[in-house]
Amino acid sequence: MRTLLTLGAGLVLAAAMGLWPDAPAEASHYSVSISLYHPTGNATNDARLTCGWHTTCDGVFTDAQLGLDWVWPSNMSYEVRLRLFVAASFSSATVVGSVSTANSTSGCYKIEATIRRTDGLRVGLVVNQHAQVSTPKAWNISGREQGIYNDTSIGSMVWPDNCTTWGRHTMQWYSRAWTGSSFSKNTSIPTESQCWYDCYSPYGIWSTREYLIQFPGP
Amino acid sequence: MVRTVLFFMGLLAVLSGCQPRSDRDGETTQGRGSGAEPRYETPVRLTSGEYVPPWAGEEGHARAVAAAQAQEEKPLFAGVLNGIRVYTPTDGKAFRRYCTKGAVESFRTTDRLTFGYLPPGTFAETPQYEGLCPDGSVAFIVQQFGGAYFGLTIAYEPGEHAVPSMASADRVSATTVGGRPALAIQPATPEGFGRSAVVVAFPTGLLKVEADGLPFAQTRKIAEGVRCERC
Repeated sequence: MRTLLTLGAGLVLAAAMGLWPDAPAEASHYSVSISLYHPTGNATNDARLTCGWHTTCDGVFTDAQLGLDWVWPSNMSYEVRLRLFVAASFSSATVVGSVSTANSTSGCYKIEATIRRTDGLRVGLVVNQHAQVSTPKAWNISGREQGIYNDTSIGSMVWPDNCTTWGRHTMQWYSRAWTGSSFSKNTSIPTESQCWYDCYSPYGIWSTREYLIQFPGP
Repeated sequence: MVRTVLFFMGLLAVLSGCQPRSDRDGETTQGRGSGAEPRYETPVRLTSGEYVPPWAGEEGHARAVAAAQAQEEKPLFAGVLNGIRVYTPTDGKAFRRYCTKGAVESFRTTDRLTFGYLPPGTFAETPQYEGLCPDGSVAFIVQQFGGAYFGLTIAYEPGEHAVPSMASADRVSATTVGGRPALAIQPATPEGFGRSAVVVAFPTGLLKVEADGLPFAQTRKIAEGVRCERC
């Protein structure tokens, strides 16, 4: 009980101190759900998961379960795609936000795909490490009740990498930027401890989402 | 005080498992190994208030996306300005080297960079950390920030004065910052949508301030306020 009270007081204090970006005061009139899928494979060639949920794929299983490593089967391609299934509370297709991609030009090589609401607020970023865009892109994403598939080529795995890695692949994860949004990981995808050595699980193009991202419209 | 707290939070992040380790010796299995850089599970607020760029809002954002799409048609700039080599991500042979031999293999927190100005509503999304080469040399110092409408990366890279860019020629120009030669990279739209950067040449490396969603005047103001110890 005492622990719970302490935790509760800590959360209140954290909120009061502004430890998270504030949610603008607003009454939203629609909601958006985005399912994020894996960045490799296509309709005829399953994506291959090469390391389950991990921060560092090294056989040490105590680190945070940040993201997933993906390749194409038999290295038939090094393309990196951004796959979103966008559902929103509209009966017909309606623009619910935008995505813009660019390289993170400092630190380890990675592509950052920023998801914004229609008013430009940053919802979050899809990061693909060990990859680079050849040209930055921006596009609108639309949603409706039945959902809309959005499958876009965003770049390529890079080799040699400027940070240690073994072989071309991409590690994909989602990073929330706005606490007015929520996200959850798909825990049915194995963790690093369940899928580390000889981990070549195949995944169909839209078979298993990695994350579910939800946010209210402006 | 803020700097000290951030340093120790960063140290904790690294010690608690964010530090990549190498894979098995000799293991060459495709697609495994390495890991992500240190990051905060919960971003840390650094400045009060909230910076709202001129392009924010439904109409402004729609116009900004359309303008950014128009930029995609333009060829990317590559060349040398103020002694700084600018290369494109499509030219793999032009990439700068970060380590004399091998690649960055570990990270550790640092506080060599200090910031005189950050926009209202800035949160630290990562601790400030160094990427270390196998010989122990520093390949880069990086810290990432974010706000409601913008992202921000501030970095120092020892070594060659070379920087990747994804901007067309009309957005890249020579300038000076604090009397040092520098590059100015304008955002995709004048109101600040897209990526902008200020890259400043120091005798031993480059200071890079890159923003996503900020007008150029803000990016420049941030760059003018950065101090780098032993740079």
